[in-house]
Amino acid sequence: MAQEQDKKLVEQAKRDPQAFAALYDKYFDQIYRYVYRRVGDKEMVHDLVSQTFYDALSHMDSYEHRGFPFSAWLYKIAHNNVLKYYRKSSKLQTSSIEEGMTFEDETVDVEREMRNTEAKEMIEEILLQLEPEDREIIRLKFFEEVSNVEIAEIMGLSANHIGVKVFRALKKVKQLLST
Amino acid sequence: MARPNSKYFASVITKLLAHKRKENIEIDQSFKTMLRSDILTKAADVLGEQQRLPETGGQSFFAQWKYLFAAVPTFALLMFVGSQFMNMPVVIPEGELPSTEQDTVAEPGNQEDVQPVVENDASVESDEQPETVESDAPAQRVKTFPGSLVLNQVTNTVDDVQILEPEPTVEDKVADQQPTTPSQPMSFQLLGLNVNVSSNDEVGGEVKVFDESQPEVRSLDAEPRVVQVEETQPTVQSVNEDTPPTVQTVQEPEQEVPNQLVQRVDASVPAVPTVTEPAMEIAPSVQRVDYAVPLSSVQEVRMEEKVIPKLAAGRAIEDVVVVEREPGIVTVNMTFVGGGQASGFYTFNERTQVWDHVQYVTNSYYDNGLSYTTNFTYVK
Repeated sequence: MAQEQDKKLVEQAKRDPQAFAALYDKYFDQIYRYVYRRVGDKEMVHDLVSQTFYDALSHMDSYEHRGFPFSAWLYKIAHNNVLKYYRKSSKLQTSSIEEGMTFEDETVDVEREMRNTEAKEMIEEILLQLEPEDREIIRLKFFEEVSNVEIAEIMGLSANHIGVKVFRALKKVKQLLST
Repeated sequence: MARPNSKYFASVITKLLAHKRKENIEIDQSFKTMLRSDILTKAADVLGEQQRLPETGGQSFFAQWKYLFAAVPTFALLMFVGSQFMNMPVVIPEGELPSTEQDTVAEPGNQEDVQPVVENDASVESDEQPETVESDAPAQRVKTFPGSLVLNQVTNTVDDVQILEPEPTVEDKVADQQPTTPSQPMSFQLLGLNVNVSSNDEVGGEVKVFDESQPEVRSLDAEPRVVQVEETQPTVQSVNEDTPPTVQTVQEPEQEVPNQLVQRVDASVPAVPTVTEPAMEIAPSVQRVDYAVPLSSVQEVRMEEKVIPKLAAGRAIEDVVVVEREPGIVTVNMTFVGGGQASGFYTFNERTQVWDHVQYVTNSYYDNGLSYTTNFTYVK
């Protein structure tokens, strides 16, 4: 039902870009929280969310409804923008090293940047001990409440593979919680 | 170890959902409103770009006319290939030529503007090739034949007999027959009906009568090679130029040869019924028969009994020369008193001990500019 509504809104937005406002109003909060959980910096969250919706608007013609909710497509754009952000941050820090500034770890990990922001509570610390792909799947599955099919679309994996990874990630979280 | 079910992860899932509920992510509504206005502004720009496109369903000029762009060179290429194909020469293998019965022979009265092309050179060359005639099965033999030599010959038709006029000469006709037109009749000569000929061997004025019991021999004179006849003085009879020839008029057969005989040559159908009885006895007129080819006595007798009378067709014979045309086939060249000439081709059937008539037939076909010629020979 929700997918049918999304499909109509997308068709309207393709014919009239002004109709994209309806999709924006429907999915802005989800995308905002998704980016906020991964970045934490409010200014950067605004930049990434703005870039996500600009990209969606400019690529509306290329969007094809393949049975996934429109939110999955927006999550995928946001996911790629977040990854670009952390890659760009990593290069900036590497250039600072080259300029002679001291830095504790020369091999700056993208996930470590995310860890510094998110490791505030126990659950988050446990999630940071997971593999980045498993952590992203847990977040999409239980925080964003996205189905396995949508996660597969966002991650570029098969739905069955996502099910196996969810099972292994939960098993690992359980082990970490027991310790 | 049993696989964990959903209850196995219930505690973990509960803690994860509780952590989510504890999250306090405040949505910046001012940012949301500002971004919405920016998005709408950008959407208006995108809409303006679409409207600037030509009103062709949002397609560019090239996208709209792309099929036309592809069709023009394709059509030009097809026209070029078609023109090249039309200019290609047409070659019809010899084996695929249709049979005589199935195809139309070039008829004199045909109104087609297309002129058949007769390949004289190839036919003449093929004529020189020796062929053997199987006496046991004197069926059709494929033989090339320059049909143009026949088409232009001036002939006089006396029922089933056509007499070659002495002039113009064959050499002149060959020169004049290039090219051959379809309006020219395909002529042939039918030779010899019940001719009584006196030979040099006649004794005591006894007239040797050659009874013609065979069906008349119809010869389509493909290449009328007129051999220069020796001018010998008659030994038995002297021919007085002022007096009418001694040969009496040959009785005409009862049935007339249909005109189609001149136009169509059908080897399988005898054209003229057999005349078994001589119309009347004819005074001998043959002075001598020169055999330029070695023949047996039987062959010579059969030649003088059957072939020569039939070929003479009642005309006064001045001279007869028998030459070898090709192995197994002889040419009988006959000169009549008064200048007429006739010739025929024969092969000796060892089984029946009879000279069989050999016909060289050329059929010219034309169909919408596609002309071809079939040449064949058959033994009757």
